[in-house]
Amino acid sequence: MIDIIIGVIPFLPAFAGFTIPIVYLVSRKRLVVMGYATIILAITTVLSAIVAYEAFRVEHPFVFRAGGWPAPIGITYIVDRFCALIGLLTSFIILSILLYSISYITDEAYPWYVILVLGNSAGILGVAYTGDLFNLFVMLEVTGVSAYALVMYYRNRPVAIVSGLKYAFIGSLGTSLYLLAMGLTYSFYGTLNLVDFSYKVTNYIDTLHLFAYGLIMILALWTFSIKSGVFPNHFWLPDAHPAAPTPISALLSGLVVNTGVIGLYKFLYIASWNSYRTPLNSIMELASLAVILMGSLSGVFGALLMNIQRDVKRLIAYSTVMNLGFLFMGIGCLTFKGLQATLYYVITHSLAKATLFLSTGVFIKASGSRLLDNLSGSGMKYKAAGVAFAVSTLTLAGIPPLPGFLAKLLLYEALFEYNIALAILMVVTSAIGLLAYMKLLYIVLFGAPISLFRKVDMKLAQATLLILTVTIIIVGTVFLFIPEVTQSIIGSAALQSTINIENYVEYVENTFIKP
Amino acid sequence: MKFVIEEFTYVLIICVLIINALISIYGIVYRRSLTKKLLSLTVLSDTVFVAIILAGFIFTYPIVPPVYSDIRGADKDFLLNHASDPLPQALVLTGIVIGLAVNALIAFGIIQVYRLTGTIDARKAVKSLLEEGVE
Repeated sequence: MIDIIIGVIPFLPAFAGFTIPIVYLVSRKRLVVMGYATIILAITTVLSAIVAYEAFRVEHPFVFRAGGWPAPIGITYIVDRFCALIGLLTSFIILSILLYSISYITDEAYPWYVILVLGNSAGILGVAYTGDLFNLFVMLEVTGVSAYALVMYYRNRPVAIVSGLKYAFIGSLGTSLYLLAMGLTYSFYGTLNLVDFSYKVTNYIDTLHLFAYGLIMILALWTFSIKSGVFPNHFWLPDAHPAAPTPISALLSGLVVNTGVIGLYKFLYIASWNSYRTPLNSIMELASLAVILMGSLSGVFGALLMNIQRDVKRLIAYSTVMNLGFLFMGIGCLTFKGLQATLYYVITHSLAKATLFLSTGVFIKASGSRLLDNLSGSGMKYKAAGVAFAVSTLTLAGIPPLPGFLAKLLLYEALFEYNIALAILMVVTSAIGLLAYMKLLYIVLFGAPISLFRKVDMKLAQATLLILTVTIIIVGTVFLFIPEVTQSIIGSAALQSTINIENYVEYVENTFIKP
Repeated sequence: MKFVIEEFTYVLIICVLIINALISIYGIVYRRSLTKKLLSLTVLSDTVFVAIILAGFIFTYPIVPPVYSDIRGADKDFLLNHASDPLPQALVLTGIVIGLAVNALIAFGIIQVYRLTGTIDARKAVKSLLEEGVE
């Protein structure tokens, strides 16, 4: 039963996206179209919550065989605890973004908007759940195409179109390289299945295969760094994210950048668990070092550039560059603690970044400007949005009772085991970032109001923001003050894919053989 | 003799593919014109497609389609030696379909840039918009 639900989850939003034109042509009402999409996403959220609950009830991951084909031939979806949590997070945040959009997107092109958001959510959920390397490529492209189109949503603004094109060129360059990596994988190892690949890797350890393995790793890493906007490939992100409508900035900065992290998780943790016993180990160590270096450089870059921005959305976009750098540092550790820190950091960052962008959207709509100086004092004018803004900024800055503190603490511990210099670098980077967050918080909440604020009717948006704020506070306090909960959710998820990985892959391999 | 020619062809094709890929990456990153960027992108994806097709290709004669005519396996060995691997071709088909969507979207974007700014030069288009900070 549960495997059918896993198969349904990514395709429910896609199916809804294709039926939106019919709903639009029949009703021609904005509320009906938006409500239909919201209901579909609410169902998706409930289903993914069921999957996450079930994933924590049993020890083994769930395997869904698309079309009933056995594994190396057919596509499989493998859902472990890590992926199940990411799936739940994704569908919940997209649901709240869509609720927010009901009061934000009021122009005539709303059916396209809804279709693209649904397509994007299908792509991200597919990336999270898939266990097939080629299906990962397809899902990355689904996410990518809808994201490029969403950045170009304001099609009469040259800024939006030019930044969207920049994103599209660099993004499809990345996926072409990933496709090349898939060709290499198939020609050298004869499989595209994640777990099958992890077993076959150890059987071929001659020089040619070592070379091919290294090349596959380089290409995949490059692609995922483009998808996540991490240092050498971060230049598209601060242009593309602010040019989109604000709910889409939240979607891109909170969730779409996660696809790179999930891809790295699948490559470095699931597909390579077996390579430590072979000469491939040196390649894995190099890959880990490269990921961590890219992450730390990205963190430094983002933190420094955050401090000199005048445009509020650009500032938040640079904060995304910084935080994705931290995520890469966490996932590059290749240890239990590293994965634990990454998982908790992903959850915290996605919730807080989406809330921050969405609350800024209220102020931008009210003041009609994106410049930081023109927003001063707007936080006091809109109380609900102001509270959400304060909570999410403090979370990202890492102030103690909120979840950002625990996330940074876990990351610090993981990096401390790897290399003490990197741990110190991460703390210094966070401190530089803190300056920018405090400046943002001070200007928006306590600055003297200089512009006349328009009256905006965004009751639903503010209600959504309150829900998100309460979620952040609950996540923060529960995980910080009750260590058993942290251990049984974040800890056991990381345990399943690092220390108990052998049981994991053996279970998956056995389910393959059964018809 | 036949073997040498095969080897030579194989190496030649791989060299051509690598040069193609490098040129197209140069085109995407450094060319100013957006249309030339798009052309480079299609060249790159076609290069990748050819590389994948090559992975499943067999240098032999005669080449037969990879279809079992006799399920009991009488011609199984013949098929294994004389048929290309169909899976890379399926991958390429998927890749082409996805590439179509991306290329159509980018082409639309280029037309829209031309309509709005009157140029398809990426750097000039960026310079002509100094309206930052407007929502």
